[in-house]
Amino acid sequence: MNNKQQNTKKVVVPIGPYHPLLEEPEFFALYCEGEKVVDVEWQAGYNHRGIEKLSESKHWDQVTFLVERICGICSTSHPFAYCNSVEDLLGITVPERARYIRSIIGELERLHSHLLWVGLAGHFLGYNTVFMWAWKYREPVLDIFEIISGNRNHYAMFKVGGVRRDIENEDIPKIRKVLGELKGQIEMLTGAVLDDPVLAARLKGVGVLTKEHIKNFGAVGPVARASGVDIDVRRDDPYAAYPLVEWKVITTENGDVFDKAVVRLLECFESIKIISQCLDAIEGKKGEIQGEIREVPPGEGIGRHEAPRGECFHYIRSDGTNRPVRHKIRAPSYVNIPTFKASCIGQTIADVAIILAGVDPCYCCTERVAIYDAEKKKKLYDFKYLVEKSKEKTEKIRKEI
Amino acid sequence: MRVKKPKIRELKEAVKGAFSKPYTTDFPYKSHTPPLRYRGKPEYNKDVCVGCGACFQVCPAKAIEMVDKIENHTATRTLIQHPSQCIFCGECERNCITKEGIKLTTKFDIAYFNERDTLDSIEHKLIICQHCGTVIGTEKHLQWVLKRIGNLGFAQPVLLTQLMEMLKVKTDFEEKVVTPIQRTDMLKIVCPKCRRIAFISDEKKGR
Repeated sequence: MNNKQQNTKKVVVPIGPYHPLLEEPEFFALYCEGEKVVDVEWQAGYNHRGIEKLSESKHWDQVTFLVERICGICSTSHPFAYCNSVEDLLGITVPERARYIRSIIGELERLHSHLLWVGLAGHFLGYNTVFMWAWKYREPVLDIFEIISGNRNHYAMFKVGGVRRDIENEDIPKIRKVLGELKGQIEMLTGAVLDDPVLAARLKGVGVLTKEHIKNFGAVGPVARASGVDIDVRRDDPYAAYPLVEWKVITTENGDVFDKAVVRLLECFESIKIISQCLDAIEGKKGEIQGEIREVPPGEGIGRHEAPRGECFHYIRSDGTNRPVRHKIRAPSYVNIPTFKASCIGQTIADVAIILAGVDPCYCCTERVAIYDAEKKKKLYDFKYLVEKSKEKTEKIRKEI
Repeated sequence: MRVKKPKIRELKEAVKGAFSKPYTTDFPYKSHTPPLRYRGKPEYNKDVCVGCGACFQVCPAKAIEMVDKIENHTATRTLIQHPSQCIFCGECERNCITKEGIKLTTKFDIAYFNERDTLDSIEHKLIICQHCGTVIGTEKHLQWVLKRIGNLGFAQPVLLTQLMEMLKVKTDFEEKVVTPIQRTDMLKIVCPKCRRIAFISDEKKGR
């Protein structure tokens, strides 16, 4: 046995760093002994675009468009947090109609982001039907965005003190129709995931994060809620229309990949609930969508928003000019990614793809996975191999059951 | 074989999916109609645009270029909109002083082989200071200002000359400012800085 252990080579598996889909490309080096991952190293900063510095050269109104382009999937969470921060500095309140519209946009985004995740998670496990279905259900949501804001992504709806565009009354029945259909479809999808014995065997107990892990790493969003840490900015620090509507925060206890999927799927129902209540509140009424804004005084402001991936944080400082002198952004993935240190160690390479996917930003970077022999610097496995490996394991479990 | 209950639910969806049309459209073969409020390529309205350059100043992506060309006493301003750099935010439309001068269209198909084919530009006659050549504004912009301020336009020499031109009262345009600038040139087309020199120092008298 001892002899055998000495013979096993320690292999470094680099994951990353570049992928155009990701808001923050990162690099992971997995140190493996055979199939088992013994250590993970993380490097970030590969996609430094100088957004914070650029922000200092744009005036208050233009920054919304700049921060919108930090991320393509959750492109409204950054303007949301930024507008909250400038409004915090100005000390103004947003008109009620604008608050409802903000919440509608934020929740529609959560819907399409979670559906995208479910689809990709299905793809990694070899459930390509889930991938096709989830992405098919996501399309009508994007079409709704195109109808109400004018674009499938980068909605350009947010503005300091209000929103740029109103939701027209004639569009509301269309949104309701899509939400109604979507509810049935997500119910089907949730049932399919929860009842499937293969998925349960494949995902339960994989990549477990305990409450202590979450607190030590400071993880946020669905990752934290799946481990039983009950945090949600929408409830803890109310903004927009969230205190005006009824909804609940979804938490589960186990903290494995299965629970992360459950949290995301159940959150979709809460989002649908929030949107329908917001639509009830604005339907058939007229109101201001732009509050009164004045010159930005010197000072600092903090804004937060619960993005699909967790709490998004913006800090701005003003010296009284028409541009921010400092703009600090902390995206949720920045705190969620290091949890790999806890969740990946001790797992097999076949599970790594789905554990990385479990935190949501990371399926993007795994597409650049290549496994190298530490001594020969030769490519051993690539991303395709990892997905194959992951699918193989699912197939094996399916046969056993 | 015993079919479990959950499987029936998924089978139903699969059958439904098999008999429904794919969600993707046949776009290149069939034309696509974007929604009413789709944010597409911005275009200038040649009749309404006054060439003030507000769109150039507010564009967050710097997709609008403003070129002021001055060649022996004739000057033109060209505003060029580059769709390849445009982020379709609609700021130019929102900040347009005439509200209709630049509008986002629903044109989405702006792929090109040659960038020059997609550029949308508009040219305006520019009024420059006859003494130092500083840009005062476009002719249309001054006329737009005149319409807004009404009779107050008589109080400002540059606007007054424009007004006279609009009313076709003024015929004598040959009388240009010549160096050195003198007090009588105050009522000609000169920039505020040169007017101040004319009013205070009167170069001809050497004071």
